[in-house]
Order: sequence, then structure tokens, then C-alpha cells
Amino acid sequence: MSNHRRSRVRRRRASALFGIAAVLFGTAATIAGPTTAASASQDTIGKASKSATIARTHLLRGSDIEVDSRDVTVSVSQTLNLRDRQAISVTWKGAHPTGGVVADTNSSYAAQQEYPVVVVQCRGLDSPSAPVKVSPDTCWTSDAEERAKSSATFLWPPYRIDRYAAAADRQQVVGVPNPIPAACAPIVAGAQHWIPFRAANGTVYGGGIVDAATGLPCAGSAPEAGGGTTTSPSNTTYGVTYPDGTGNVSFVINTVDSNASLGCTREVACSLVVIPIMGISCDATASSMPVADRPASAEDRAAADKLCQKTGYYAPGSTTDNAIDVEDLSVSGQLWWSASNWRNRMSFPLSFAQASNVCDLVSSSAPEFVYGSQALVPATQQWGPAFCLNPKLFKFQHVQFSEPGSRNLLTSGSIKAAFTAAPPDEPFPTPVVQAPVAVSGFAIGMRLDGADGKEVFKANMTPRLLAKLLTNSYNGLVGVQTSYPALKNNPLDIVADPEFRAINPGMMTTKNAYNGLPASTLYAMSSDSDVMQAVTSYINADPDARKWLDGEADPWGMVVNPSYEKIALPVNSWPQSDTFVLDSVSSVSCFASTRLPWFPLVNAPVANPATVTLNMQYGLSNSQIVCKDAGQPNQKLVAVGKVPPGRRALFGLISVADAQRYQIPTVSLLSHVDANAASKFTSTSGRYFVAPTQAGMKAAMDLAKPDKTLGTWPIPYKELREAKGKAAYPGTLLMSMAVPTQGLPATEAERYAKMIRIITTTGQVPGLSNGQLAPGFLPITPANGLANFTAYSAKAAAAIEQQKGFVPAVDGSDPKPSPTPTPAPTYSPTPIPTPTYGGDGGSSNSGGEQIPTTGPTQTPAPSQSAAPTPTPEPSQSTILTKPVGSTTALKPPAGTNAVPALIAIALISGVASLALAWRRPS
Amino acid sequence: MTVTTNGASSPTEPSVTTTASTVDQGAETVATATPGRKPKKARPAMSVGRGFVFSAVASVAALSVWFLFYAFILTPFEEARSQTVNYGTLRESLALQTAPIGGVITPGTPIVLIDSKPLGLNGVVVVEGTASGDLMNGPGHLRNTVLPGQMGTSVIMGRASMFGGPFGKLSEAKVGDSLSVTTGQGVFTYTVESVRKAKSPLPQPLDAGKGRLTLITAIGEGKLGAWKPTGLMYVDAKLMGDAQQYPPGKPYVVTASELPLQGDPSALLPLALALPLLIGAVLFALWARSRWGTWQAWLVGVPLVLACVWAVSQAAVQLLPNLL
Repeated sequence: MSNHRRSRVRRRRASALFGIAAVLFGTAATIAGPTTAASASQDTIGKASKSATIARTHLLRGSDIEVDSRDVTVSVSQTLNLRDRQAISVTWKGAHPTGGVVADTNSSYAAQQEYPVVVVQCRGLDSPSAPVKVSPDTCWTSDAEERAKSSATFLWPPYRIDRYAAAADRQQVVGVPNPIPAACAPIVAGAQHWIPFRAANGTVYGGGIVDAATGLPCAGSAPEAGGGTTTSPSNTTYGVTYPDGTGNVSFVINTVDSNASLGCTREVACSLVVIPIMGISCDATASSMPVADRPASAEDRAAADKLCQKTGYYAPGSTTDNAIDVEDLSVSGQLWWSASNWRNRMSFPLSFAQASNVCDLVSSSAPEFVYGSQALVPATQQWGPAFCLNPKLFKFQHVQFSEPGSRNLLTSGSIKAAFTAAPPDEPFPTPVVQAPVAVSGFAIGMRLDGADGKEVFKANMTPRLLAKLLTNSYNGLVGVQTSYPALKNNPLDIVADPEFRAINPGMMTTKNAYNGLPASTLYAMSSDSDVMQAVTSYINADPDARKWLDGEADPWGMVVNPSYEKIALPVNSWPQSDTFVLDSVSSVSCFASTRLPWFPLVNAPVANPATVTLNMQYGLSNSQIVCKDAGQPNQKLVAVGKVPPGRRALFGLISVADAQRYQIPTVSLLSHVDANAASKFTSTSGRYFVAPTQAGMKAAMDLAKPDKTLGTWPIPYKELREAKGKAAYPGTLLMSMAVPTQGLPATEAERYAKMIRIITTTGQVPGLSNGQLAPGFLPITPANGLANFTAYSAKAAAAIEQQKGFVPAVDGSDPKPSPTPTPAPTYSPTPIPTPTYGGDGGSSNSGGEQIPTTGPTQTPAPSQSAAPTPTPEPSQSTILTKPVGSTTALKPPAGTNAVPALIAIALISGVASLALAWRRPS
Repeated sequence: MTVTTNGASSPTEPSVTTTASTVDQGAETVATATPGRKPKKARPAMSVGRGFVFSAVASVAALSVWFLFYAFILTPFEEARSQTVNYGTLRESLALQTAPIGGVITPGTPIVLIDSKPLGLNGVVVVEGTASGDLMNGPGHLRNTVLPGQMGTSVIMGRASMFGGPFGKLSEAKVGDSLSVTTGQGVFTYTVESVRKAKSPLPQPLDAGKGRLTLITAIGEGKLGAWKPTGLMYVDAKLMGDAQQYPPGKPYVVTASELPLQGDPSALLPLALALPLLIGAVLFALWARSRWGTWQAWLVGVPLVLACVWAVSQAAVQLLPNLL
């Protein structure tokens, strides 16, 4: 008994100590919280750089002859937190200059360049201990020619006398499946070297020679491979090194989402492999090889040596002459896999961001939905996992939807929250607070090549030029010019427009043979959008553009398309007003029977703004004017598709954040015109153009004034055009989260309030990790002069939480003292536990409450107790001594009485029937 | 019974004839309950109303007795046959290494072999699925749990009394009894760690990487408890040694009819199809009796009616709780 009491006392004492420890620990964590938040700016980008000395050394008569040696340094802009389809930039210096340059460095044709720098994405790591090592087998290429070489007559092509190749790789036939697949022509003579592709699921695609009938390699290729027609364009890049030894490419990362065969995920390691092609190091003597793999005759040896030691058909920096098979194979990109080139590789391990569907995998609990702006997707993709992976928080889902539509749904009570990118047209009829959550902007994305055929990364545009593109005032085709009298004197396209040429020197001319049709329109979305509202507000605020829209010719004599003359702006969605029918195309059978208005086909607006981004990333023109299967019953109009690099002029309306993620060049927009600037200008002098940078957005937000009626800070387009807006980016957008302050259930109100608090505090730390602010957004912080936004968001969160119908005034002029002095948000960031995939630990909670077979499934995992929570989790051993509940009693369903009931029925009816029969004789 | 010769029924009393033959039909199975009658002696006919009531009540009695007979005497044969067939299938798939080890497995597929002397399980083949129909073939594996031998808790349910009552001896399980389980991933040994009924303490949460097997069946109170279950009993066994990984893709939820003590309402459809067949068979037998003669009708009718009544019973028994 006394023992018992003593132990109880001891236990109580221990628990008191435990409690004190907990309090201390909690305090420490609270104090440490802000510090860790501040110091949490660890590297989330992972810039990387590698250098190596690489050489081409032939083995001649037993001695090494070094013919070329270079010190190459390769830098990669980002290797961490990569997302699907994201573009990263790879730059290098010191490489051998490229000859026979082709325009599209992603095409298989580009492999024929001499001395390119090959950039490929490979599964595996370049380390001896890695479970999967990078090898040409695991590197992704799209086209069969990139991994199979054959020599029909001459038996000693350069890859057979590669001194660094293993003996097995120097045989006459390498990599050809045995037996050879039926689809392949049997090999009777000549040398073959095939590189199979080993997919993530273990399937091996043999590749091989392309079958002319199907266009596919005869031994099979991965489903993602192909000519870039049905699949997304290949990311294998044959980069061009300029004569000074430098070069750069923008490389598109593919995760498992867009390339399942390559299969890169957070769990499946992948590398970026950069191979500066130096040429094959030759060994024609092959004295260490078996006799069969040695050129036997002196003539063979001499011919092989000659072929292998070639140093290039093209001069460095020259462009291809489009002749077939003139390049020197031994120094071309086609032999990237040969040992001589492969050994010069530089590998950069890649690590990927949380997959976009991680929240669906983590929990099936109902998320809080927020409808609205597509321009905010890069941000919510990073914020989302921070919520759903944190067991103390909840899951929220951003439903991409048109912003004006979202506001309508919010007013009608169909949805609870909306991300908007512009002020409402008129004040909300119900109490709705708009908390600023992000500052970003729209961008005019471009794929533009200069007169020299190289891509242009900086271009300027005035609102009038935007208006010209939007109103279809360019002809696009000569056929339109001759048959549309109103546009007779207008330029064919923007590149030919003297206004555009005045502020953008070095543009293409008709000599470049560029396609003017894509350059005559602005690719945009068809849905209602705050982005279109912003673009048209910007155009409307410019006196020159407005005058031109009202019918006044520009100084060069160009007039507005009469269908859009005097159009009232701003608008939420751009109308397709022009009904001109191009008769000259009626010979094309798609147009023969129907009289389709021409310009809407050229504009081809798309429902989802993300499609515009995709098209801009790959330089695809969406103009639906190509007649596919002409004359067939299934004929249809399809998009123009990829515009050949070197001759591109495409513009699309995208978001700044998307432009950053996918490395789409953007246009600088006109912000201010000096009073004395020439109206018929020939240069940018007196005109100010601002690129979508953080500084430009900050300058724009500095000018934004609160509008009490609309409850937000509208972008002051008039002031931006004035001198004080010189440095302000006119495309800046203030993204807000609109939530009602009346009528929400308490739990949801609390969640939305929490969401705003987290997004506007830790969510504004720039970075690429979960919960951080994606690139392309201006952090809403006091440091950026946006303290009043932060303060208003805190007030908004409090108003949402209270649900008393109170909307705090944006200008701080609340009638009564703020209902609750809102303390600084006390959210302290907790480390996000890594989700455990593929297992629920065997808990059978999903089977319904009737299966009480296991203990409570929400037992705290020890790995999560690292969070600085005020109450420390009890250790595993304490759990073990605690009862975890008891088996619940199941109320037996009615069916369990069936057997006794049946017996009773049998007895009663048996007796009854007996009785009935028994009494009969008497 | 007035009508003893074929086709000799008097045209003046057709209704009596019909009634009498119905009675006859009902009497077939209750004949043992009414011994000592002298059938040769002519009996006066029952009144129409009384005859109708008698035949109805007697039919109900006969059907109930048949059903009980089926449920407790015949179903073990059905189960034994399924076990033999499934054992062969499982043996083959284990030998070919095609035995399913995860993902979505078609219900009814034999997947596991359990051996445990103390629990009265001697080479019992477990099938996938725990709906009433699946458990006719032996114990069933709850589809949204892992398979035995894998990380986490695996649940297997079995009937207590009908269809051989494979889990009928589960109540005799004691802590420490051992079970041997064979799956496509190997042979695993489990040791019983707790035997639970309602309100018993739950077992401790599983450590990561460990496995547990929970066997569930129905129990009732008293000697005949198995006939009228009042609750469930659980036998938890822990996996000795390390558990195997399991492939992803197992179902997240199962239908209500797969939960313990639930019937399977989807059996109403086969029941609705079998019942008219039974009625048709009876009518056919009656017709045959009047056309061909009594013995001919018996010869043809009995197997036909028996087959139909068997089909009806098989469907009807699925409506009963699955662990019965």
C-alpha cells in the first residue's frame, strides 16, 4: 500500500517535472520561432556549377596524341525543388565552338551540329553507390536517330574505334536485341550500334532503325517518345557554343507527370547530364581488341583513322547548309553516348518539389476550396503542401476559375472564398473582405527572334501596339490585305509595324521568311478574367492608344480595325467582333462549305490561361487555320503548331510567375512618355519601358491608393502613365483573397482566417520550398513598403474569424476602434513532416466504425514530435503502458435472429399443420 | 385423398382435386411427422378453406425445416467442395508465383492458406472478400486491409456455424497459440496475443514495420450461441519476425455488405430469379402428375424441385449475416 502510494507520488512528481519541461520547451520554441523563420532562408534553389578539363586524345601507334583540350565550366540555375515542365538555364564557358548550327536546338536534327553541348535528363545518379547509375540507357531522348547509328557498308565507323569504349561496345553489332524483333530488317552487313532505353518501370525499349511505314523505331520506343506531334516536345538539347566558348540553353525539366518512362520523382533520383562534345578519341589500330574487332587491312585502318580523326566540316559559328550527312560524325552530337564523349559528362543531381497531387495522396479529408485566379497557381502550388502536410493544419484546394465568375459565386454564396486579381466592378453587396495575399502581374510573353536568327529576350511594347494586336488591325496575310479594304494600308504584322521597329531595333525582315500570321495577334484566354480587365485598363489609360482606338490613325497611318472602333474599355473578356470572311482560302476544303469569320480563327482564344503559357513555352501558334485531313470526312481545322525557331514572332498574355517558372521572355511595357517626346518616334528616347521585375511591381504598388468603396487597392493606371509612374510596371496585379465576414460556419471561418494569416506571414518568404512564395511574386512585407497590406490582412483575418459582418476599412478609417486589437499573428512555422507514401500502417479505420480491430490510428508518430509544439509528445514507451481504448460492442443486426426465428416458424407452422390435419377424422 | 388414379378426377369437383394435390405436395416432407396413418383408407375431403390454410401452413413449415436443414447440414458440403477446389487453385498459383499479393484482387480468389491446430484450422483456404457470398467458400480477407504477412493489420473473417463454421472453434483460442499462414510472399508464423469480445481492451498500436492478423467471427451466448450471435469475437495474432512490404492499390473502402455481421442485399436478385423457377418446377410437377401419373411425376419432379429449392436457399442464405 505504501509502496503504491510512493510510486504514485513519484509519478505525480515526474509528471510535474514533465509539465515544467513542456512549458519551458514551448517558450523556447516560441522565442526561437521567429528566428528560425528568419534564418529559414536556406538554399531552396540549388545553383550548381562544375568544371573539368576535357581532351580529345587519339591513340596512334601506341602513344597518346592530344589534339584538343578545353577547360569547361558548366553552371545550372536551379537543381532543387524542380517542378514539371519548369525551365532551368544551363550556361557554360570554355567549350569547343559549335559549327553547322541549327535553329531548333531541341530537334533531333540539332544532333547533327558539330561540337554541340548536349544536355539530357537521365534517371539515376553519377555516383558509384547510387542504386541506379546514369548511363546512356537511362537518358531521355525523343527520337530514334538519337540512340541508334548504323553504317551500311564501311565496317569501322568512329564509334567502333573509340579508344575509351569497352571491348563489348566495339563489336560490329552492339545493342541489337537477339533475336532481332520481327519489325526490324535483319542485319546482313555493316555496323550497328543501338542504345536501348530503360524505362522507370523496368521496360527496355530497344529503339533501333526507324521503320519508314510507322515512323517508329523497329524495336520499340517509349510512349512519350516520338516526333513531337502527339507528345510534348523533347527536352534533349544540343546547345550551341558561340565562338568565344560560351553558350546557354533553357532546359525543360520533365518529371513523372509529363514523362512517366523517364519517371523522375522525389523518390526516383534523376540527374541533368551535360556533355560537351569533344569528338571521338580514336584508336584505329585496336591492338587490345579481339582480332574480329580490329581493322584488318592497312586500307581499312587508314580509312577508319581518317574518318574518326575529322575535326569538323563546318567552321565554328557557321550555320548549317542543310546538306545531308555532310557533318563529321566523329565530332557531331549524334555520338553523345559514345565512351569518348560520355566520359566528359558533368552530372548535376536534380531534386524535385512535392508533386502537385501530394495533397490528394496525403489525406482524403474534404479540403477548403478557394476559387479563382490562375495567375496565383505557382504560389498556391507551394502554399498548398505546407497546409496539407502539416497535421495541425488542413487541406485547401485552389480551383482555377475566372475571377469575375468567382466573385459572382462568392456573392451568391455558392463558394466560401475566392482569389481575385482586380477590384470588383462594383462593391460587394454582402460583407466581403478582400485580404491582399500576393503581388504579381500579367506579362506579355514572347517568342521572338531577331534579324540574326537568335532569340530576342528584351523587347518593348506600347499600349497602342497591344491594342493593334488585340483588335486584329494587322492583316497577317497578304490575302487579307488585298481583300479587306479597311486594313489595306495597315502593316502585315507587328514585326513589320514601324512603331514596333522604332522601339525594337534589330527585328526580322521579310528576308527572314518569318510567319507573319502568328505575329498579327495576341494569344489570350477566352474566359472572363481580371487579367484581361487589367490589360484593357492599361490600354484605356494611355491617351495615344485610346485616340487610336477611337479612329485616329497612328503617326504612320495605321488605323483601327472598324469592328473594334470606339470599343469601350476595360472589358473582362476580349470580344471576337470581326466577321470578315477570307474568300481566298475557300479553295481549302475545310473552308469550302462554311463561311467562317477569319480573325477569330487566327486569335483562337483558349478557355484556360495555362494553355497560353504552354504554347508560349514551346513556341506554338494556336491559330486554327490548318486544314487537317483535307477532303476527308474527318477533316478539321487545327493549330499551326510549332513555329520554327529562328523565325518566330509570337506574343501571348501570361502571368509573371508563369513566365519566370517556364523561362518565357517577357515584353517591357510603356510606363510614361515625356511631354516633349516625338509622337512619330524613331527610338525609345523620351519613352520609358518597364520589365516585370520586383522593382517595377514595387513601384506600381507604391502608387496604389486604398479605395474604401471597393474595399481594396486598385492599380492606378492613370497615375502609372504620369511621370511618377516612370519605374512602375503597368501590368502589376494585387491578388486578394475575398472571404465573407458573415454567414460562414465557425470552423470554416477559423480556417480561412488561419489561411490568410499563414499566407501573409510565412507565405511571403521568397523561396522554392513548400509554404514559401514562388518566384514572380513581390513579397508583401514592410521591407517592400507594403506594411499597410500586411496590417490589413491581419484585420481581415480577425473579421473573418468573428463573422460579425464587419469589413475593416482599407484606408484605416474604421468608425469605431478596431473591434479586437489584433495581435501579431502567432503562427510559428512547424517543420513539415515528410509524408509516408504507400501505407496507412495497416489501420483499418477506413472500413467504418464497425471494425474496431486496431488501436486508435492517430497515434503520434515519433518522427513528428520534432515540431516545437508546446506539449511534448509522450515517448513510445509511455504509450505502450497506456490502455488504448476498448473494443466497441456491435449492435447485432436483425439478421442475427434469423435462425431462432426460422426454428420458431418451423415449430409453430409444423404444429399448426399437424393440428389442422389431426382433427380431420373426428 | 380421393384421387388415386391418374386422370380419373371427377369433372364435378375440380377444386377439391386441386386442393388435395397441393396438400399432397406439402405432405411429402412432413410425412415423417405424421406416422401411423392408414393411407389406404379413403378419407373424406377437407373443406376448401381449411385445406388451403393447411397447405399454406404446412408449406411454410416444410420450407423452414428445409432451410434449416440446408443451412446446417448441407452447406458444409458446399464449403468443403469449394475448399478442395480453392486449395488446388491456390496451390497452383503459389507454385507459379502468381498468387496475388496486393492491389485490387477479384473477390473470391483464393489467396491465403491458414494452418492452426489449436484454432481448429487445418489447411483452410482464405478467399478475397468478406461479403456473405464470399464467405460461403471459407474464411475471407477484408479487402481494405493488407494481406497476412505484410506490414499493418490484416483482417480475416469467417463463419461461426453455417458452411462448416470454419471459425467455429475460434472461441477456444488462447494467448500463445500459433498460426501458420502461407501467402504468395512466403510462410508466416503468428502468435495469438489477445482474444477479444466487446469491451475488451484493444491491442497496442503496431510498431512500424510489424504485422498483425485479426480473425473475426460471430459469437453468441450459451450452447446454441452460434445460432444467434450477439456480437463479434476477435483473435489478434502478432507476426513473428519482420513483415513484408505491400504493393500499393488496395481498396480504400469496402461495401457495407463486407462488414461484419452484414447480409448481402445484392443476393435479392438471384433470389428473385430462383423463386419463380421453384414455383414453375412445382407447377410442372403437378401438371406431370395429372398427365403422366404419380410415380412418373415424382421421378421427374423431385430432382427438379430440389435443384430449384437449393438455388433459392443459396440465395436466401446470403441475405443472412455473413459471419453466421
